[in-house]
Amino acid sequence: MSVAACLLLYSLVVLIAGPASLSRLTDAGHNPRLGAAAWITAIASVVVSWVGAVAFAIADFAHHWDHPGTVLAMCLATLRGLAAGTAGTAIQIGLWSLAGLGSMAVAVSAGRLLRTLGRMRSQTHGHARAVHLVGRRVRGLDALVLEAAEPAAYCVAGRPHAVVITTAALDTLGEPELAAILAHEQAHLDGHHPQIVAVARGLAATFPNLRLMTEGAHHIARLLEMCADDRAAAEHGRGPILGGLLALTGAAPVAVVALGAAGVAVLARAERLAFAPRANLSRAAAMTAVITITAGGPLASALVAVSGALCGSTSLL
Amino acid sequence: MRRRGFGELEAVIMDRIWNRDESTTTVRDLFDELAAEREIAYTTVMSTMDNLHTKGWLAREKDGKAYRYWPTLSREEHSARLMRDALDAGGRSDLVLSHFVEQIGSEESARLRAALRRMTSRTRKSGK
Repeated sequence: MSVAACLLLYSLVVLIAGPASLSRLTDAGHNPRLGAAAWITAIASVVVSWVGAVAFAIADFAHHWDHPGTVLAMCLATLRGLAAGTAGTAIQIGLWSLAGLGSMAVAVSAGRLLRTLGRMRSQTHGHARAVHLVGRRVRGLDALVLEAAEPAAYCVAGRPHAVVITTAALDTLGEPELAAILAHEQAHLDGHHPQIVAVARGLAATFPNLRLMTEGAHHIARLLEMCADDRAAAEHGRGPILGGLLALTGAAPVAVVALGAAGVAVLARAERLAFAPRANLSRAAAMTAVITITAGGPLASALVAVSGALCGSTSLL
Repeated sequence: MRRRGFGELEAVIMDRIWNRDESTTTVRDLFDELAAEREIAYTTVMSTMDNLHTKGWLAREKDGKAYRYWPTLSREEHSARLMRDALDAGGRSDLVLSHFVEQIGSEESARLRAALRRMTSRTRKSGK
């Protein structure tokens, strides 16, 4: 049982300390790749430690179940213990009940997450399919063109994926800007960014009260935009991508209530492109450290528990 | 953009049907058109159009032994609907898209454009 407890303790630490420290490390977008990796590893390590905790708890229970009568004997012992005022076995049974509840919570959350991801996938793939039927192909343009008054460019995952650009955007953009924007969208698809964002968003929807998940989804999306900017800038220069941002930012009135975050995110991307922040080595080192710690975290806490159990003579599980 | 398999043929058929002057089309009409340009079986065209009907892209009506097909919505109507979905797809929707620029309000976008323009001119001056 102590391994499960250690894993839960570990996940609690990441859930509490993670969001603020990761935000601070990745806010400026100095190294968006590393930043996105840090968020993803932290989130994944929490999920892994939950699943691991459940697995160990079940193994513990099965271990006792293997010896017929043990569980029954423990129940009887509990009753006797309660009568006699010793509660050692009662604690064990209580822990099992807790582990049972925890396992159920994990199973229910996993079901909810899978349903959310399934819904996202069918909506998104449906959109991609429709875009393939409706969009026009233009010779020499590696994108599907939708007739629309709103200038927009986006990519959507599907079978096959699609990069979409509207006629209004084509009218606004010069050739270098267009090439840079298409490279940006292609970088998303090549890097599997839509799938990563979908999973992060699914986790955020499943655990709306966990800041690591909700803020993580937001930060991961933001950092991946910067990654795609960097790829496009490496191919086409920073000027065209900055020009593209300028051309497509609110060039047509869209009836949307002001969304503060989106505007701030665009400005942050533009700042990086305009002023090209120098590589920040200490931040990169800190992010690498976070990635290493969280990647090894679940395993380390399990090992600590096992060695603790070996030193003390309590049950291994 | 590359497309594969049935999806590709579906796109070609919808494209033809939207571009036609006649209001309805039979499988035979379309097969004659397509067979002039590519190797294709009549049954392939038939089953693809049947699929498009099942998926709601084409409506049909029996005319003698054959069906006459027509698009349920125009290409423009579909475009408008897709754009609406795409622009509504904020961070909370089930539709996952990566917009080059997220949609923002007009007042905010004016401020943003001013800031962006300042930045662009500064980058140009510094010779980037």
